[in-house]
Amino acid sequence: MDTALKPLLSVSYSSKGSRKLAKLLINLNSRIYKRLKQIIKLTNVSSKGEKGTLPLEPFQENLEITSKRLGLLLSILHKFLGDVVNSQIQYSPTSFISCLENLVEKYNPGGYIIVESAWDFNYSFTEISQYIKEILVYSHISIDNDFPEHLVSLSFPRVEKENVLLHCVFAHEIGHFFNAVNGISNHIPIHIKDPEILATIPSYYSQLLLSIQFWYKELVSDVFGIHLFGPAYFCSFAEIGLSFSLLNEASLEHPPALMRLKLMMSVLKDLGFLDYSQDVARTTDSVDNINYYKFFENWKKFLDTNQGIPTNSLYCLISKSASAVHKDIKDKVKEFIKDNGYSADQFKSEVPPLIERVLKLIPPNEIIFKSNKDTKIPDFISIVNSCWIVYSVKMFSLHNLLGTKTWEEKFQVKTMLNNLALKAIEYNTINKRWENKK
Amino acid sequence: MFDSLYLQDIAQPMKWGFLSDNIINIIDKHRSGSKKLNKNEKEIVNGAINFFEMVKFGIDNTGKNYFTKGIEKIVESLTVYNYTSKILMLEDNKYENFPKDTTKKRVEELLKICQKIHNNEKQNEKEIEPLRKFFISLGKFTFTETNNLLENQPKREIISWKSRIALGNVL
Repeated sequence: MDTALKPLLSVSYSSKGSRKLAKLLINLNSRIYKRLKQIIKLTNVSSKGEKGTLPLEPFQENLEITSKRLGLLLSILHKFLGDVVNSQIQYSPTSFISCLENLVEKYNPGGYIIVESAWDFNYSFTEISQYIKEILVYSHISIDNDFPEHLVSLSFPRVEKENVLLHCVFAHEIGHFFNAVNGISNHIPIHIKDPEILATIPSYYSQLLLSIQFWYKELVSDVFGIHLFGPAYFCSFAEIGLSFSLLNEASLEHPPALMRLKLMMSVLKDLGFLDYSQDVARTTDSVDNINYYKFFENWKKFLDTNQGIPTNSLYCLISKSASAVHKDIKDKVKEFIKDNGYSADQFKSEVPPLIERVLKLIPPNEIIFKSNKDTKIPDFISIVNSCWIVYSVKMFSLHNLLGTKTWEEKFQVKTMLNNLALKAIEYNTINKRWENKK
Repeated sequence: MFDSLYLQDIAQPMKWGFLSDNIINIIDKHRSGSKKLNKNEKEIVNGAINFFEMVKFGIDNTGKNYFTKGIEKIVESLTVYNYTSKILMLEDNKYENFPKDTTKKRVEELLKICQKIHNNEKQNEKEIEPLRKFFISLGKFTFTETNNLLENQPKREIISWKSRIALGNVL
């Protein structure tokens, strides 16, 4: 088995976490086989009834269940092999992932991500090291000391590999990472409204608390998403919600998108992203008959008037509990991130000149000041924001410019916008490396 | 890949399952006369003590409607309380009217046996048997639970809040 797994160590991956996980899986694999051999040896000795052995039947029964449990452990670990294999460099938008790694390093040094390109049309997050450690705590199977405390797997839909705009949803997944590392959702109070419903249906209780825990994690990650990516996260999340008509649907694990968007909108407002800025308004106004502010104002109106009402009592309790702590969630995230997030000031100074470049079909990787022709390398988050604003409120201009009429042609323009963003991020990464070298 | 919630569901029975397997070995060692626990064995016994403390915490907090923090501990304690109730019901062959107080009393008895093992206090086979029986049941229960979860990933229920209103009207 080791021989089959070892080639994983010589493959190129999109992020550093993949090799760490591959190494861990190889080590655990050989340790589990070693333990299974010990058990077989013990079973043989015991079954011969040698002097000093423990009572035969229960002892053997226990060994049998331990060996089967180790078999289950192997099957769990082997599922992680898929994460490693699917994070190879050829399946991933590498420059974007490199930016995500830098973001993780900035807030949680020593944390690692694996970015898996999956066939599911979904973005997801899995805290791998935390759960592997939890499973192994009483197993007598040890982990190497150099295994990272925090290693997480993030996945994106492979069919959308080049869709950098949609990848802004990663802001939420990174938010899950920061929440897992810092236990932020664990510090939010729980107040279950209408406890009388609880008294009448006590079996709800476990499910209720579990769901509140899940909903808190989602909401905390959303607030992180806005702090990290600004309006780009709001837009990418709305895009996914609208694509699947899921805005008003909730599950025991996820709040309805309408509730989440409303919370995000209030964070955008708190952080100053919705304050009037002459520059942003100027560059986004004109032929489209809609500008950046009008776009968000319309969203706000929509969200204010369309908050759903849960249709069963369990969801009603979860929803009320989660709605009551929005302020606590915002405060706790703010306390963690301080003033180090993506700021509205940076957005207002960097995004307008980048929008101008995008509208001329030039990759938005550089800001050239008209006054003295000085140049500046923008933050990669400003790059994706500029493309999102063009996509949200300026597509009509682009269609006019390029004379696009059919749906196919319009789709090509969207692809082109993604390519501009991707190219700009690539240039941006190279520029930053040069700067660091200097 | 696993999603985080699914992995959380699987990690719990795996963790407590390994604890059960190992505590049974320690109990057998204890009752066969070899009483001194080494460092690893003490950690396992501490794990069992922690398990019963969590069950007690779960019992004491079930039904509360306000917590200042610590949702992760509450959720985990409710999970182990749930495992324990199922095992005790099965042991007593009683599936209804199994009050919290009965569970708590039994858990406190099991906790005492654990603490005596931890302190290397002498106990006869009869005294120690309930603990052994409990962990054999927990071992089997968690094994089945993990196996079921691995074979059938639970489908997540989705509920619609209310009918969608066309966004085109406002955008």
